[in-house]
Amino acid sequence: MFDSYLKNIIDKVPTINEYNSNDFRTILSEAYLELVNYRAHSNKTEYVQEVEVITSLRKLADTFEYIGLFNSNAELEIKTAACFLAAEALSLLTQLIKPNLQEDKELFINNYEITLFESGILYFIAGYDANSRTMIKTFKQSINERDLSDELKWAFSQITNICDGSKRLEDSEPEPPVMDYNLSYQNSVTILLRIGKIANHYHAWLGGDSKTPMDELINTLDDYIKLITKHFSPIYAVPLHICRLLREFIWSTSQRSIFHSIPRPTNNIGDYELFLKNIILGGKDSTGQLFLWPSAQNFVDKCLPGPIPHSIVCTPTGSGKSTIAKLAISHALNEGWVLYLAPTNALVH
Amino acid sequence: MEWLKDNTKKALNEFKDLVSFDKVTTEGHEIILVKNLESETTRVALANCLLAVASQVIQHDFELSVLLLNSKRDSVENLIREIDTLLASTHSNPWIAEAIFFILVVIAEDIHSPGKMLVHTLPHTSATRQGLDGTGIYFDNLLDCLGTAITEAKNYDDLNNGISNSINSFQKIEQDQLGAELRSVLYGLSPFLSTAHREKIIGEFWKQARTYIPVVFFVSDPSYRILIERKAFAQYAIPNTHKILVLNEFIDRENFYKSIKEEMRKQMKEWMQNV
Repeated sequence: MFDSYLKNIIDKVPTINEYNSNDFRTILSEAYLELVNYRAHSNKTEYVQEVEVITSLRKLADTFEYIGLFNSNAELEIKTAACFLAAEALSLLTQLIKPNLQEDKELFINNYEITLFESGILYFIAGYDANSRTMIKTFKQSINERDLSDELKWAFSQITNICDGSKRLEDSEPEPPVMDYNLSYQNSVTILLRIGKIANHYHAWLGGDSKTPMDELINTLDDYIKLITKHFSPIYAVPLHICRLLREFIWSTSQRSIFHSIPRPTNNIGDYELFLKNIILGGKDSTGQLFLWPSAQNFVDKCLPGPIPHSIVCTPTGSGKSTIAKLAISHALNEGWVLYLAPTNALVH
Repeated sequence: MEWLKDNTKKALNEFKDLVSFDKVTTEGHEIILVKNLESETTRVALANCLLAVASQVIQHDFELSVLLLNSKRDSVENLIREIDTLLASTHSNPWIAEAIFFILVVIAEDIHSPGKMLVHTLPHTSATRQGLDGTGIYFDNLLDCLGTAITEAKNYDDLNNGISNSINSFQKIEQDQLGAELRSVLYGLSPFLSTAHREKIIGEFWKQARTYIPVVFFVSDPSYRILIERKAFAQYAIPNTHKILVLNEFIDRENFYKSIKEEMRKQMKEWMQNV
């Protein structure tokens, strides 16, 4: 089920209670087969869902999400691998658990939606932006199709806009609800609005439009985490969790921000930053791109401007070769000239 | 509000001396029969304990609100108004039921025989969210690891319906319908564990040790066979010692709630005189 690249990633996670990466891959593969079975029987009432598979996915997700988000001693590549494994488990879970359990009006995002959202964020932290977009798209559909408050929709859209490349909304934070609901609900919504505001500022930072340092955003989130933990109550558990997810999301993704991680050429810095902003905003025929993908980041680290002078970029279609070419060309043009060769006329056009 | 804390300690000790438990082990589960909750002699201490729990929860909300919104709401008058609102709400009886179980866990370690409760959520006053009634992290003596204690409190006139419905509600956990919330609560509780326990928690998520605790408040009837096996429990693949049925029997349950709320209001009036 996993190619050698993914196998290498999963192999980096630590052994847990004598279970190793082979066992974790087996759990994911068995869950995938269960999903195929589930879909084949989706119209038959006699099909009994395998509780054991769901339990295994949940413990896989909880264990590795904890390593990815809470274990400050873990090395970066272990945290990344843990986030990927947790994202995979949660992604499979969203397809096995029923989306709408409660018929009552739900004021808050539900179990299915939280699982979609965190799977999307964890995929992004692990550098799997395309997988993330799939989860985030389903999450957005789910919350937009039902009666969720405008404040909550606004708060979550500030984060999902970053994930799916949507345009940033200008500062327009709604006011928290005042007397309509009780204090704890008001607090929960206020926390999420504050989180949304931080995500909005981060979006501005990614676009090169904000003077607020990224560290300041992380420090503010750390303050919220301390504050909510001190006053912890089950009703704040999910907002607290989203706070932690966003903190890790900002910390890890900021390192591959196109605007901030591309070295500037020696001349024409202002023009160069305009060029980067064009990549970030996208054009008529292309969507915007805020982040470098891991392969592009590898190229930037090693070749832009050096120390490695020659490189061959070989990645699948749609994985960002053109962006790498644009960045390489933009740097080279500052120093001299570029010869761009293509094997077919069609590619040139 | 130190005077309130002192009063609460005193009330907890009094309440501890007034209630008692009978423990019965059947083949399929454990039963805890809580005695003397309904007695008039218990009422004052129980009402005081309930007020302390409500105050702590609401005080946390106030403090958070002050820090988030710069609002100024953490006065005793506001606290009393919030508790009054809680007692007048349709959510008041379920909240009292959850709070009583929480108090029992605090005063009696042996109510949870699989192991000592290390941290436990406070019963939340909000009725705007459906979810877990009570969640704790305990040390499991049998499995030698940390475990999760999950409580479902129910008020039912009919004992058998109450037991079946509360036991079946744990299916939401088994089918992961509350998985994200349960995980978030456990992550939220983990900073309150000792360093030694916190260091072990990664592996403990994998073991998934847990206890299911249906807590039923029911109206007494001589025809009930309290000690019979409960088939609904058999669907859960956890040790039988980890299925703990907590039964609270009342002659007049509605009157119990009514009189407890009256006593809580009376004590709140006395608070105002202390301010």
